[in-house]
Amino acid sequence: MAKWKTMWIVPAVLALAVAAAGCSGGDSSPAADPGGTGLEPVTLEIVVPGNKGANFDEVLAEVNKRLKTEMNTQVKFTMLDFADLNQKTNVMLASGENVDLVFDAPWLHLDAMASQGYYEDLSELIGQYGPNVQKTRPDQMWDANKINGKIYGVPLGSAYTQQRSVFIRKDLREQLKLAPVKTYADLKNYLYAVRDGGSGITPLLAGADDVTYSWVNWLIRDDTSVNIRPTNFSGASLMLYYKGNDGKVYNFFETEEPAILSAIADTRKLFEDKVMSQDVLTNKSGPAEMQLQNKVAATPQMAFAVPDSFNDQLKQVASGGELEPVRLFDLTPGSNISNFKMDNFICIVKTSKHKDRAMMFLDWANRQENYDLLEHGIEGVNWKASGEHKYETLNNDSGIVSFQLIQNPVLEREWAGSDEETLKYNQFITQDDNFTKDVMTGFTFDPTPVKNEVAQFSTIQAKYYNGLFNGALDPDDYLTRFKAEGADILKKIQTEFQRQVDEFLAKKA
Amino acid sequence: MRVMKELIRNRGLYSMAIPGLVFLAVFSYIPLAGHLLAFKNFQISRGIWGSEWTGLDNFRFFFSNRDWIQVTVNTLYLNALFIVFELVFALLIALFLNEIRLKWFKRTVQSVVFLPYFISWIVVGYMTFILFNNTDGLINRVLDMAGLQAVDWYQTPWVWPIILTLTRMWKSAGYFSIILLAAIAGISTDYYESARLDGATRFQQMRYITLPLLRPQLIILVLLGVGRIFYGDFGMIYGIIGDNGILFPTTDVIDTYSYRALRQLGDFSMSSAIVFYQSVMGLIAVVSFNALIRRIDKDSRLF
Amino acid sequence: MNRTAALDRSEQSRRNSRLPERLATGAMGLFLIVFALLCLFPFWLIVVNSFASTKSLALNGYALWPNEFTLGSYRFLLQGKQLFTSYGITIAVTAIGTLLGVLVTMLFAYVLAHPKNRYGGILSFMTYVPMVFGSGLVGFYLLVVQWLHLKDSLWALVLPYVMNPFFAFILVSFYRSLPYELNESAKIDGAGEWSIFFRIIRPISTPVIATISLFYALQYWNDWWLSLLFIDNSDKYPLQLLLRQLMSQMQLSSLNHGNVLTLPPAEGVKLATVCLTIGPIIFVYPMVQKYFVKGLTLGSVKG
Repeated sequence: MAKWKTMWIVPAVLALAVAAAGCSGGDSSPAADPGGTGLEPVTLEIVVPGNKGANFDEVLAEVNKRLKTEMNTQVKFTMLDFADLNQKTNVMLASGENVDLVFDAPWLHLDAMASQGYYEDLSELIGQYGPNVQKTRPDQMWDANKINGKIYGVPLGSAYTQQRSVFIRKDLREQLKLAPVKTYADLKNYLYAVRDGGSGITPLLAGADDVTYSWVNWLIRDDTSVNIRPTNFSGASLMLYYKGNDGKVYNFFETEEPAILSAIADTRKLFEDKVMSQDVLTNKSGPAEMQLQNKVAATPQMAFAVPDSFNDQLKQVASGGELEPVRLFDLTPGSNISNFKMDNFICIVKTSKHKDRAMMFLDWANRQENYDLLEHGIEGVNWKASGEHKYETLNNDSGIVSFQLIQNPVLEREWAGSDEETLKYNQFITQDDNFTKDVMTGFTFDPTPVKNEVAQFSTIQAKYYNGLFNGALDPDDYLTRFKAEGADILKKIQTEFQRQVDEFLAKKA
Repeated sequence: MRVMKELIRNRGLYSMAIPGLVFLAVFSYIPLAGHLLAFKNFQISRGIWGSEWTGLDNFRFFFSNRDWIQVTVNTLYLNALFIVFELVFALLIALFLNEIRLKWFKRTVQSVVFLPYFISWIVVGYMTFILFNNTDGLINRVLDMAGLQAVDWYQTPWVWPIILTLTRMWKSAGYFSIILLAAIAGISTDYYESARLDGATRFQQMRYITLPLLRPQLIILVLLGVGRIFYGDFGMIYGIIGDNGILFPTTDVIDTYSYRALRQLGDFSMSSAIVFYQSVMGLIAVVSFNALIRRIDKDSRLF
Repeated sequence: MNRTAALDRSEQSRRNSRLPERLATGAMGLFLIVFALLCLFPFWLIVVNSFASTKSLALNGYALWPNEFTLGSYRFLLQGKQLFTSYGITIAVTAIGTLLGVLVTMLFAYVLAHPKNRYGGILSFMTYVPMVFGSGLVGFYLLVVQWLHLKDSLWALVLPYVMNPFFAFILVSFYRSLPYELNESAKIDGAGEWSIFFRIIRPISTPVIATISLFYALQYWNDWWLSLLFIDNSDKYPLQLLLRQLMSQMQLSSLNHGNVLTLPPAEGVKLATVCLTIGPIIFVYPMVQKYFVKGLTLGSVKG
C-alpha cells in the first residue's frame, strides 16, 4: 500500500518535465487584412538593447495600429539589457531562434557575425523595399560602413564623431573667481584652484573602468595637432594607434610617441598633486555619480551639454551647485579625421522568414512621422514639433527606440531646449564635410590570425594601462615593466594589423 | 546480466534514484558536450558538431604566457584559505551556538549570522571600498585619529588575501554553520545522556561526542570544496578587486584572468578551453583527495 | 518523562557545571555577540540608508541614522504592477522548485548512501562529475531552448536546478550516519524501500531535510542567470531579473543622448533593491530553525 502511494512520484516528475516541454507554443495572428494591402499578416520579432520606457505600451500600440493598416504587419520587441547583450544575442543567433531584426555593432560582434554568415546582405532588399532607408543616409555613410564590401546592417547614427566634454562645477569656478574655461591650461588652472580652495571636493575623476574615459585618452582625442586615434584592436587602447592619415599602424612601445608620453607624465603629476582622485582605479561609483554627489569637481562625459536632470540632482545635494561643459573639441572644419563608421547597426537575420517585410518595416520606420513616433512617442502627448526640425518634450519620457533601430542624420530632430553654443557643436558633427576622410574608412581588423596574442595582451594591458593612463602608476617604473612583458606580443599584433591594412589599401588603390 | 539481476532484485531501492538520474542526465550530462568546444574552432553557424577540430590550439593563449602559473597558484591558495578558514569558523560558530542554553539568544544569533549571506558581492565590494579607500576610507580615518600613518590599501597587494578570506568567513559562516547545526541536531541525545551519567563535562562532550560525529559532514564539505578548487570565485574577486591591476599579483584568479583575456574577443572556444583545464585539474584533485580519505576513514569518502 | 525527573536532571547538571565551564560558556556567548554585531551592522546600514534622502546619502555616506528620510527609493522601485507580478513568479518558482528539488534529491541521495547499493561508488562519482565540469553555455542553451522548448516558460527556471549534487552529498553524509539496523528491522516487518524511507528515514532526517529545503529555496530565490538566458517576455521576469533591469535602466538613462533624461541613480535605490530582494526570503530561515530541535532523533523512533 505504502509502496503504491509513493510510486507515483517518478511518473509524475517525468510527466511534469514533458508537460513543461510541451507548453511553449507560439501564438498565431489572425489572417485579416484591414488595410486591404494584399499582404500576408506577419509578426516581426525585433531584438534590440534598451529598456521599456514609461510609454512603451501606448506607443507600441500606435505603431502596430499604423502597421496593421499600412502593411498588415505587427512588431514585437525584445529589449535586452546592455550588460547582457553580447552573450544573449550570441546564444540567440547560435541556436537559430526565430528573430527577424537584430541590433548589432562593431563594439559588439557585428564583424564576426557578419563574416560567419548570420546576417543577410541588404543591398538588394534596400533597392527593392527601402528607398527611405537609402535616402536618409548619405552615400558616404553607406560606403564607410560596408563589411567586406557588403552591407550587413543599416548604419544607425546622426553624427560622425562622439559628443564629448568635461563637466565642471560652474558655481565653484565662480566662487574661485575664475574666468570661463576655454583651454586645457584653463582647466588645469581650475583643477588646482579647486584643490587649494578648501572645499574638500576631489578636483578630477576620470573613468578607469573604460579605457575611453581614461584621462590620457581623453586629452589625446581632442588634440587635432597630432590626430592620434585608437586602432580598436583592444577597445580604445592607444598602444596601437593611427596618427595623421598615413595608413600606418604605430606601436607605442616603439615610437614612445611624445604627445602620449607627455600626456602620461602630465596625468601622473595631476595624480601626485592630488588633483586626480587617489581612488581613480578602485572607485565603485562612476564619475557622473560621484560628481552629482558633490564629491568631484570635474569628470569626462560623452555629451556636449549638461542634461537638466544632472543639475536638478546636484542642487538637491549642494545648494547652488551647477555644472557646465568644457568643450575641448576643435571646431575647425577639416581638422578632425573621421572614418564615418557608425557605432550601431540594425541587421536582418539570415534565417528570418520575412526578410522583405523586415525591410519594408525599416523603410516605414525611416519616414518622418513614424520615426518621430518611435523615437519621441505620440505627438501632442509625449512631444510636440517646434521651430526648424526641433522638438519639445511634453512629459519626461520618450518613445521606444532610437539609436537601436532608426537613427539617421536626416530625420533626427534637435531638442528645442539646447542653447546656441551646444547647437553649434551638435550641428558641426552631423555634417560629413566638416571632417577629413580617414584613409582607413571602410577597414575592419580581423583579429582571428592573432587571437592568442590579443587575448594575452589584454591581460597584460589590464595590469598597467588604466594605472598609467590615469596617473596612478609611476611611468618611470611601470611603463618599463609593461614594455618588458608586452612588447613582443604587441609587435606581433602590429605586424598582422599592418599587413591587413596594407592589403586593404592596395585593394582600394 | 548480473547487473540486471541486481537491479531487478533491489528495484525498490534503485527506482528511487530514477528521477534524480533523469535530471542529472538531461541537465548535466547532455550539456557536457559543450566541452568539445575547447578542441574546436567554434563557429556559430556550423554548430558544435560542425566546427572544425583544432587540437590544443585554444589552450595556447593561456599556457604560452607565464602568467598562467601565477593565476593558477593564486586560485589554489586563495581557495585553500577559503575552505579551511570558512569551515573552521563555521564549526566554531556551530559548536558555540550549541552550548548556548538561552533559546531566544541562540535563535537570534543564528538568524543574524546568516544575514551576510544575502548581501551580494557587488554590495560587499562597495562596503570594502568604504572601509579601505584613500579619499575618506573609514580605516584610514581611524588610523589617522590614532596618530598612525594611513595606508594605501588598494596599492598594497599582500593584505588582500587576508581581507578576502575574512570577508568570505564573514559571508558564509551562517550558511555552513546551518549544515553543521543540522548535523548536531541529528546526533542522538542518548550519547550525551550517557556521557553526563559518566560525569563528562560539557567541554568533554563537545570534544569527544559532537566533534567526532561531525567529521563526516566536515569531510564532505572539504571534498566538495576541493573539486572546485581550480575555479576562482569570480563574483567575489571581481566585485571587490575589480580591474585594479596593482592587486593582481596576489588576487588574480583563473576566472578573472580569462575574463579579461577574452572579453574583447568573446571567443567561446578559448573560454571553454580554460574551463576544461579547470575541470580536469579539479577532477584530479578530488579523485586523489578522495583516495586519501578512503584510506583514513572509509565511511566519509565521496565515492 | 515526568516533572520530578526533569528537575532532578537539571539539578544535577547545575551541580556539574563548575566555574571554569561557566566562564567558557560566557566567552563563547561573547564571541557570538561580537560576530553577530559584525553581521548586523552592515545590514543595518543597508536597511536604514535605503530610506535616506539623496542629500543625506551624498553628504554623510552610509550613516547609522540618516538625518533626512524619504520613501523615494521604494516609490521608484514599486511603480507599476510589474514588481508584484515578479514577486509572484519568484515565489511560485521557489515553491515548486524547492518541493521538486527536495523530493528528487532526498530520494536520490538515499540510494547513494544505501549500504545495499552495489553501485554507490560509481553513482556518486557520476553525480560529482557535473559539479566539477559545469556545463558549457552553448550546449545548455541549445538544450533548453531548442530541444526542450522551454523559452519563456517558467519551467526553464525550475527544472535545471532540481538536482543539485552539492545538496545531494550533504544529504548523503547524513544518511550514512544513520544506523542501518533501522532498515533491517523494518525490512523484517515486510516494508519496501519506499515505505521505509518515508516512514522511518525521512522523519528522523528532518533537520537536514529542513536545511536542504532552505538551501533549495535560496538557490531558486537568488537566481537570475536562468531567467536572463531563457525569459525574454518581460511580463514573466522574476524578481531578481526585474531589479537588475531597473538598476541598469537608471544607469543607462544618464548615458542617453539628448536632454530628456530621468534622474540618474540615487544610491538609495541600490540599497532599497537589496532590501526588496532579501525581504521575504529572510523570514524563511526562522521558520526552518524550528526543525533543528533535538528529539526528532533516533531515540524517539526506537521508543
